Amino acid sequence: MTPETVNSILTVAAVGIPELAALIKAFWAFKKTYPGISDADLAALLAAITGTNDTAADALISKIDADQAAHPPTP
Amino acid sequence: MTRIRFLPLILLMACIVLTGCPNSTSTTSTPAAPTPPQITVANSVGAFLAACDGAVTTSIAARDAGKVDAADVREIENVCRSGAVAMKKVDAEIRSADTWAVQRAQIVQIMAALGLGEVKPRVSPAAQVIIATVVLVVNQISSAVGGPTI
Repeated sequence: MTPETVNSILTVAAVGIPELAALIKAFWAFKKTYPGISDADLAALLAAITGTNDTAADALISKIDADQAAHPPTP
Repeated sequence: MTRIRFLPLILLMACIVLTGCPNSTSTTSTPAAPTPPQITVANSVGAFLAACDGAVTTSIAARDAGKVDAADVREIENVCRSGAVAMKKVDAEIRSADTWAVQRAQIVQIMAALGLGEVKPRVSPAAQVIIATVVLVVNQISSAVGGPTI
């Protein structure tokens, strides 16, 4: 394995660290329990979670659109 | 191209470890109420978007490092864009005043329309590894609403 290869692998790995942290955090949410939650609390909680989700979805779509605009498909 | 495979594998390992068996402490008197399914789905949507973000970011970096074809990256991006749009529909559904039975049926339809299973044969093995985590989370959501898994 050449130094250039190691360098490129480390570059890719470093770029993915924040996303990996976000994924781990998202999966930790599965561990949380909500015993005896009321309907009003459930609605408020769902509004908060889905609001965060929608923001993340919009950010992801923007990121993809920007990358595809910068890298159009080759004919 | 194969050298980036360790990153998705790390993501998969994290998924498996974190969704595995809970700590076994046996000191309960009354069983806790189950987590409402809408919350499970909402959290799964969050995990899906995080997985897609990771897949897109990793594939872009891999492409820029010359490790993945640009066509594969575009395919992954298209899958993730469709997924993000679908997840916004799921979010809107679980915020709605519909009963869980109606919400559940709607979410099954949204997940089925995503067609993620049809994408796998169209991309290279390296790209399949990158989207493996995304497929894992889609299956988590489908399982939560009793729908089919990929």
